[in-house]
Amino acid sequence: MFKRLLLDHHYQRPVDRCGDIAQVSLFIGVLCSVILSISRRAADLIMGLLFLVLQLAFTPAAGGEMTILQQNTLKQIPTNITSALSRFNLHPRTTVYATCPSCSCLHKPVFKPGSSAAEYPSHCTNKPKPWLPICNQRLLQPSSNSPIKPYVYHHFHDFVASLLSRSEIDAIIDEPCDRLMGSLDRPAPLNSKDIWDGEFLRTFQGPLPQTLFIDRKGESRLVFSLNVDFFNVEGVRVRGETTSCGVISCACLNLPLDIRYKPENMFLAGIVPGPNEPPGDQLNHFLEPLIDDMVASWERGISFSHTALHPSGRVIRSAIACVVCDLPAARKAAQMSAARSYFYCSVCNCCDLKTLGRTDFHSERWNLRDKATLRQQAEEYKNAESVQQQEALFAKYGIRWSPLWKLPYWDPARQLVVDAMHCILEGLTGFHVRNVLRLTSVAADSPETLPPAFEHPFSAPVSTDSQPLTENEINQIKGIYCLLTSSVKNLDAEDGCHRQRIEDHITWLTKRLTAKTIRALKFVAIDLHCKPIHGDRIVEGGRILKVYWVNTLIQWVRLSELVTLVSSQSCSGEQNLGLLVCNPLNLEHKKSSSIYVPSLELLTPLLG
Amino acid sequence: MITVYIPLALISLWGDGTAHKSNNLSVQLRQVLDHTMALVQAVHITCARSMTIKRAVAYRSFIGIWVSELKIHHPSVDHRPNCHMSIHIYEFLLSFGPVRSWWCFPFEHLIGQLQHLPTNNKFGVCRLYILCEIILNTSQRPIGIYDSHLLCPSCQAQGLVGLGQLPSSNQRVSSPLRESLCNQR
Repeated sequence: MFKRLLLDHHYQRPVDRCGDIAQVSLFIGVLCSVILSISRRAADLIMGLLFLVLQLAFTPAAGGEMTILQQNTLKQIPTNITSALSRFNLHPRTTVYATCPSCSCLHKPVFKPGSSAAEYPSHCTNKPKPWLPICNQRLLQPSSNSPIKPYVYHHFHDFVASLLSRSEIDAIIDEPCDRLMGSLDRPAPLNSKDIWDGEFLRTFQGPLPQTLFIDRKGESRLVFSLNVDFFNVEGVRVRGETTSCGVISCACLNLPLDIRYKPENMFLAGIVPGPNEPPGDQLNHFLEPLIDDMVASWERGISFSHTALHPSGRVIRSAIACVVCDLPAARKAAQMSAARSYFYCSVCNCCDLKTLGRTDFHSERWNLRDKATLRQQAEEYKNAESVQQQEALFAKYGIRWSPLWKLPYWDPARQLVVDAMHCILEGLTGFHVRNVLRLTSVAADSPETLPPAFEHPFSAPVSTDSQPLTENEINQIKGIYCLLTSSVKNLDAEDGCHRQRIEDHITWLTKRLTAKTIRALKFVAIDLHCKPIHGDRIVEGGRILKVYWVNTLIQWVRLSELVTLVSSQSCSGEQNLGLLVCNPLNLEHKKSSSIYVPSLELLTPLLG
Repeated sequence: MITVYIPLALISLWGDGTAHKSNNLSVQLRQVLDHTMALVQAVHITCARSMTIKRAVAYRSFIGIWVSELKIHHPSVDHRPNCHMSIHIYEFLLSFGPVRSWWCFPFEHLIGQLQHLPTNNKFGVCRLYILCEIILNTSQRPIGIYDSHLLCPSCQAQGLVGLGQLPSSNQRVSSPLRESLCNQR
């Protein structure tokens, strides 16, 4: 029933058979290579030097032969680091898949009997979709017959075996299960300190019917959290991200918090090769080997021949309790629609981006999404017979097939967690401070900009057949709108120079407007029902110069909504923001613009 | 930052006892401050090392206030998907307990280690392969070395190895090396 694994390689290392001096020499080389991270060439040099030192030390000063023991010691010391590493059995058991560069399908290596060289098919034999032809993309490099795009998968069971080969881990791995099992008859602790105190594991159904997962019945039960994330291999550079690789990793939640996240205790399943993120549902291929191992572990149980404290072996079943990713990677791993799409939530039934701000969390819409329905929708997607059908299903339900559905217990609404670090600490607080409160260094350095003096419902510039507009012209029209509503600086300073300030503003405005193109000016003027003006009269026919359009726009500003009294000091969100002085005669003329009540004391010097 | 410095700065600028040009302004600033503080309290509860039902409920009410009042105090900003997803953290707080067991920090840390591995700066297949190989070495087996009965605690004390922990009760096989080292001490 159980899948049985032989694990002798975790307990027997060739180095144990070496002599003392050889052991220490090998250890120095391996230490430099693994822990001090020196390059292979440098490590080869160190091994060579060690060999030389020993040889010189062993050679008798008076001449003559070395003893047999000394000769043996020298024989045991390899001169390159690769064979030194192999004596420590450091390499984990991995499979190097050949990834198809076009469809990301994984191809398993085949080993011929008696040969250790991996062989791959030369071309991709996968049908990406049932209705598409075979991909037939080249998989191997022409010169070396090695895969163009290898994907190294570290066997999950091998990781568990290496974890349990350490006696201190083997001793405590069952502790949280037993503790929780013992406290099940009592109510949940009020003060939960770890995932084991939460509600999820208390009610998580196990592989055997009608039993909880933590009810281990002599086996061992391991709980993992899975993470998929994409990162830039070259580090964060000034010019931004250039490459993106994925990393699939797991953390064993059975370990106590202080050692759970040490690098040696975390499982790195593989690195999704770059240079770009796999598009669409291609990430599925990379998750599949891990999920297959997880399914085997859940359904059959893995019988380990040997662990540190159980020389006669033990049976282990593992489960993924939660999938912890940032929002984009979570949607990619679970193959649900993106966060900015119509189905923006993977947890509840809320949809339609317009309702993003809803907080009526007691209404029915906020109920968790149903696991059985989601599974059915994902399977419908998988079994669709044409690309149109698949796309229609995705548009309808917002979900694709993901290998996570192979796990019988997978429930995205409860297990695909919203990561608090990305969502709250990076997302919301950053958003609140930078975008809402605008506390950024850029905002602090930039000159204070005045808010618009008043609002006017300008019509949006749209290019039509009768009136084609270029992109540049559309931008210019928007710029003119801003200019027309701009405020006068320092108008509430009490030095009696109000008229002068307004005239200065008009001069500045004229200059800025003249810099715009005639077509943009004409569009705005016609939109505001203004006719071109030359001197005092309206120009009806003949050649119309740019300056006539500028004149009429200045007139519009001057007459209708004269100028504002917003000073640079009082513009920070005050309610009298955009306080406007109107020419009372023109109030009727501009009914549509929003008019604020003029403040009398400020009006007096202007009108007087 | 968000739980200490920004609240301190904003309270001293906008809180009780500060003077503003007009009454209207001070009322409005006070509302903005209260709105910000709702978020700060929510962050505070999220980062707590232990979780109770009471705290989770308080979290939901604070984040609910923040989301619903965002448009009132700041009409120009739009809601983001994160606003909605943050409300669901409540359910995960209840089912998985304190956030330390299910947040991304350790995994991001792992990525940081990956990025700091020495490489040959050539992007591509070979590099990825090596990258993977190295990380598998470094991340899984430093302890494995100590497990191979090569070293005893005395070596560690002598400063031969400053990294990792040595299982001190590892007495399965006594290697000749180990004995000789201990004798020397």
